[in-house]
Amino acid sequence: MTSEIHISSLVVHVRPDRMDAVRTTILERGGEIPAEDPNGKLIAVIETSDETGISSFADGIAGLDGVLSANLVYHMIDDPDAQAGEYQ
Amino acid sequence: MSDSGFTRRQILKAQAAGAAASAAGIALPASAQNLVTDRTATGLKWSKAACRFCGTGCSVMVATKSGRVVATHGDAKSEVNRGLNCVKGYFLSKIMYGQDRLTQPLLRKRDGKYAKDGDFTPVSWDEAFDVMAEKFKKALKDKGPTAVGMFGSGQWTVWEGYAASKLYKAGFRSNNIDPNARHCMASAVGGFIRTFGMDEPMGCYDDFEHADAFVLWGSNMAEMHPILWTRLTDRRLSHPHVKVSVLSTFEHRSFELADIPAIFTPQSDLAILNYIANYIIQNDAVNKDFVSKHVNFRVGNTDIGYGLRPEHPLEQAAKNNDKAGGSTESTFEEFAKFVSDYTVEKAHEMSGVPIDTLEKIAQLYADPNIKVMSLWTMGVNQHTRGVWVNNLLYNIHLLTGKIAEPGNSPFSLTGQPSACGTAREVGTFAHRLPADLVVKNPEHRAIAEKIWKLPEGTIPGKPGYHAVLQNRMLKDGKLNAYWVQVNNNMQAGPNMMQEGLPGYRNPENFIVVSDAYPTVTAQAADLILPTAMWVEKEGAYGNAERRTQFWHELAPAPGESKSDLWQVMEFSKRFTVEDVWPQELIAKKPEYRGKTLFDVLFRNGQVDRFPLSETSDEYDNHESEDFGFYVQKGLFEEYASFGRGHAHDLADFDTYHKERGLRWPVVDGKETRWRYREGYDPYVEKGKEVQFYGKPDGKAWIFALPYEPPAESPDEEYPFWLSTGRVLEHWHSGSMTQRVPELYRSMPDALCYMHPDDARDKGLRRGDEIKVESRRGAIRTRVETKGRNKPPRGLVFVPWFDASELINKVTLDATDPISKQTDFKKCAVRIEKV
Repeated sequence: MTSEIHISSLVVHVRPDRMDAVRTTILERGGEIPAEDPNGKLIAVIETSDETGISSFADGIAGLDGVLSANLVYHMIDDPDAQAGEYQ
Repeated sequence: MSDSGFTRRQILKAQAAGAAASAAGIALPASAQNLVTDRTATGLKWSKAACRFCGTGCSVMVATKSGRVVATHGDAKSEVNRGLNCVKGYFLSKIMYGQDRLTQPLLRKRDGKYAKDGDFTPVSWDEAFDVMAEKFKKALKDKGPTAVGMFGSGQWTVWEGYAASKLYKAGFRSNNIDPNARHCMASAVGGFIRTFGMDEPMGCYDDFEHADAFVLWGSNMAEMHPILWTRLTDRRLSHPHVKVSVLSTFEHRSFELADIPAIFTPQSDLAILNYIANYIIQNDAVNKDFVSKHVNFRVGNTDIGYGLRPEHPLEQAAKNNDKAGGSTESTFEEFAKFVSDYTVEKAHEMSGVPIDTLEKIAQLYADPNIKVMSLWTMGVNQHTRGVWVNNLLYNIHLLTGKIAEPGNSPFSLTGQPSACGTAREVGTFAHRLPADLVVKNPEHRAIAEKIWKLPEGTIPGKPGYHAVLQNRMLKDGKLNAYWVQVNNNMQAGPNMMQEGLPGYRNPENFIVVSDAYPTVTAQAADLILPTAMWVEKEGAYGNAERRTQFWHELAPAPGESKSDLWQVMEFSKRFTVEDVWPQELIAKKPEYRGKTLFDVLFRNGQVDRFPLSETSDEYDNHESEDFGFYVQKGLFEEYASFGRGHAHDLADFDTYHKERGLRWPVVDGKETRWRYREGYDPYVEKGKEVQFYGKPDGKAWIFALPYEPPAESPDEEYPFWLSTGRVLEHWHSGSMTQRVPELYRSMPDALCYMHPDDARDKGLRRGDEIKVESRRGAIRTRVETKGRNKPPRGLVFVPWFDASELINKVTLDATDPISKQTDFKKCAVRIEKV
């Protein structure tokens, strides 16, 4: 049996003085941060097994001290059969 | 590993990161940029659509696979949301697939026949319409056109609202059609019409990138308009000189960004705004050139009552409730004298806001070098003096000339996706016709009758029953055949136990509710019609910045569900003109004899003008296939003929299927970003600089309007203010969002937010079960003393999305006497532990 893989990304707006703390929390919770802007923006990419994981991650980040907004941008459910394959 | 050296997973993550970075305007590291975004690998078909939820009007990309919507993401080509998507928008793909989705008509029956006290039984569309037509005909025959009515929505697509309005006002000759936008935008409309003579904002969302200061009047944009909030946040963080002021009756998430926060006593916004006008005048900050050229002064009628039933003591005591909207001519000097009473001390005393905070807010408006955007929604509109507050907001922008130019923008936000596009522009209100025409004006009726090819005198001149009045008339047995589409008014309307439910269950009445889900309202009906929603039909919405957006039908509706448009048009076939019009009217157009309302209204040579061959080859279009012509295009083009050449110009139909929306007036293919300003708005005459052309002399009106108390305030017996509202995860009554498991889990039950000291004094702890009780009713809920909403002492906040804890049993049906919009933000309650 195969399970779904959900990959999604968020733009997180943070008060600049809280960037370090928020970055640490995102990384601790399994997110990746491929890019950021010192004026208070972080890009977070997460991989979860279902949508609930995405919404609880987003809610958790949105509720952090200093976070002004956390908006989702991209979401895809990857075809489980493709998981084993390679991207050509 | 592939040749490129990346795994599939890395590629997918790079795509996700790339979309987010692009939406945020951040450059990705060079290594990540090398990963190519390849959409063909996913096997999904992507199409654009306008989001189903709030009035922001985000564009989303919708992916379908095997006839189902399987994913959505923010549309990077959209000027509104620029690739972002809020939590609600993200889960759009799921709203259509709740397990209790309705798939066939349900009629209350006993012993095989319709019975008011029967049980819901599946029936065919034919049987449903047979019974419905019989009830409508009986009501029309017994009592005339005022006995039939409809409650519609700012979630109707443009052509759905247009077709429904036409069926009622032209077909049934009843103006008893009103949208739920009455609960949401009516005071904003009243403010626009009174001040400018023309509805809808002069500015647009581009103002977010030009303003130096933002002032939120009661609005909690962080939770209610998250995408616009992100634009505002971006501006604040990237331009350190920018200031944000947030005013509200309780602390909420938007306060995170507030440089100038202010908590004020309910209703004292009237005093604060008059103080700011006074400050501007006292500090010589009036833009005298602007005021002398572009403004007239008026004194508004006062003591105008609270829109309650006429026998209510407050109405008996009010002097001017029969001429609430009236005003008389005045001068700048008289206005200056009038507001001079509103000193900073007085404003502080009435509002509880510290003096230095009030001065800081006033300075934002007074300083000619600061461009100010004011933003508001329900806090201002759901107010027994809501039209006044709108007027007072325009006052301070007009005094300073900070209006109708980039960054200087009084901006009325909307709550529903097409509150502007459908409810307001199409004119589905009890007093309106398309393009700002009104039923009480005989010239306006004549224009509509000409476009609609109707005999003179078809449209009645008396405004119909507005939202709250419809419930009262149902209860009183004067409105007997009633159709509800795309709203959940039994849950959303005020004072439901005394005014809402008794009317629906009145044995004299027949209530039809069209919905996709068995809402509280549907369950109170006699007939439920299953409805196709959102991208299950071709649609058009108009957002808060005058942007009209289209989408195609992207997925089939389940079971026998049909769109609201199909339902209205199909139902019109059940009536001949002889059923609904008097002989003398028919005599003026004898060629209509024996024809159905469908023939007269929709087979009129205009609506049926475009053949099926003009519909898209790529997408289905169920209504057009059923009726045999391009229904949406015909309705849109007929509707657009009302506004073209009259400052409400819409582009031609096909353009909207290509564009990410355009802001009207669209003249010579160009949209208008700032109205009333020369150089931006083609309707401003050359050399005028600014022209408020909604008024005959091109001048906007500044109103002298005082503070007047709310309809109900806390007292010894009911010591707390109650304010109601929304939360981020849920939208309005939750009939769609509560079916998305992820949204439901994150905020399953409504809570009563209160100050920890108030809770302690009542011996309450967080999580305790309590009764929230007013003079009208009570609900049980739980105490929340932490979390995102932090009321001051003496005020509690209860969201209204939860169908199991209906807070509108408690609220008061007091309305603004001018706009007839309910004040859901203020009534008095007591709290008891249970």
